[in-house]
Amino acid sequence: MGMLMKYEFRKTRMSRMILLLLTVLSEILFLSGLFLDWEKGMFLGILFLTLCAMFGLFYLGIESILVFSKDLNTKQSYMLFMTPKNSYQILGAKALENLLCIIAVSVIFILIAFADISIAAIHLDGLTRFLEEIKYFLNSMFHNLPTWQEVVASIFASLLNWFMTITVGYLAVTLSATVLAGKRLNGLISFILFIVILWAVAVAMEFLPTLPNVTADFAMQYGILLLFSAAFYFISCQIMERKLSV
Amino acid sequence: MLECRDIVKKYGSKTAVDSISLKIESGRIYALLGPNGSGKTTLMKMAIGLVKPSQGNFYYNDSPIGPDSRREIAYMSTEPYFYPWMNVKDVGDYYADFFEDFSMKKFEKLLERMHLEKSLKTKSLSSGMMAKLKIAVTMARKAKVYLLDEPLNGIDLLARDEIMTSIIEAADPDTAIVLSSHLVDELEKIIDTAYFIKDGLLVKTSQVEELRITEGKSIVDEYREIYGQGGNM
Repeated sequence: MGMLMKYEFRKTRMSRMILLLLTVLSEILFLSGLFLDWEKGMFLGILFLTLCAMFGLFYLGIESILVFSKDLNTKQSYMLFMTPKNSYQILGAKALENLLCIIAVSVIFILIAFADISIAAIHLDGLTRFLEEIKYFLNSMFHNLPTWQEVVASIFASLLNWFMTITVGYLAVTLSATVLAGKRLNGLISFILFIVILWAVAVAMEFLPTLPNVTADFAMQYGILLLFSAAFYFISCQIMERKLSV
Repeated sequence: MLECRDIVKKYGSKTAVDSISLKIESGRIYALLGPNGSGKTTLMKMAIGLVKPSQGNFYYNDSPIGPDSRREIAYMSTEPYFYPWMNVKDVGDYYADFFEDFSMKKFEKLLERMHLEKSLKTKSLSSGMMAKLKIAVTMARKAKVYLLDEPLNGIDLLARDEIMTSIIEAADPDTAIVLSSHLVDELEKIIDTAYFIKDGLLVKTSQVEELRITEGKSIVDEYREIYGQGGNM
């Protein structure tokens, strides 16, 4: 599966290079603004870094679904399906590579944010005062300020939620290329199915009890999201094994 | 070695392949003959597992074909299928990564024979160069079965010779080669058996040598009888 993952990375390398370049430019803008006392540049840098993180993670997922669609619906599908690999390995490599990439990009942006806050704090009259001001500001906004552990846990839950959404995307693309292939309004029907499945998952998540222990509560959320992702992955692979003609 | 039993493929109401049964044995070269749209490509794609049959199946050494049989069966599609970001070298590396029987040394030798530079981008290749690359990368495998779909399509005369030489070199007692084409006269010289396919049906199987000796006919004559005006098979 490592070889398949290597080529999944190659397929999306260009967009990741562009994201990296935009992030570096935004960081340079932020640091220039900070050290040259150019307030506008600094805020633009923060804005662009935030957009890079948000849209970057969003695009990584969307691109993975688009590449999968191309891999099923164009002649380049032969490159994958004439190799001695089954559908579980092919889709598994895509999903795993995408999950690792999403996590890696998130960690990079968290580290950038941490480094930028630290640099800004040191530059702007000392770390303690700056952090206290942030804390005072957040306290005035929220009644129960989350701990940093809760913030990290929430970010991770959001990433798993996004990954689960991507696996629903894989399922919709698989349905479109197999059982719906050749039917009228194929694309629209698979998109509606995508929305309906996501809505059903959201409804199911609403029924989850809130556990008194925060750690247990997050662990339950992770487990359920991973379970849903695994289910959509297995259903997609089963359909591909039985029905897919490329 | 490789066989199909009563295999059918339907696309909606259209039957592309209709109850075909045939056997491919090692040490022989086969031709799947028929005009465009007769079902040759669909049959080949089912043999490698790219297309799922509606009924029946292909078997390789008595097991239904699947990922494992693709370790020993090499397929060359008639359409270009390489990733657009690849250059000629990347294509070789890709095959080396996925097929244990791929020889980089042989690939390089074939590239040299076909005058293909490793740095050329696949998306910038002409149809003739693309056909040469497809043949080079497929024949650089030491497969047990080669399925070559229209290897001579859109190729000029000189390039055809290069491609035919590469195909003949792969023939040995442990190997079966299946060629599909509507350029019958080009194949006549090298094939042992011809399967004639018409409207998805296998209408005739001919042994080339036997046909020549017993009936004094060539495969081209046979082709004209089957598909030409008045062909009543």
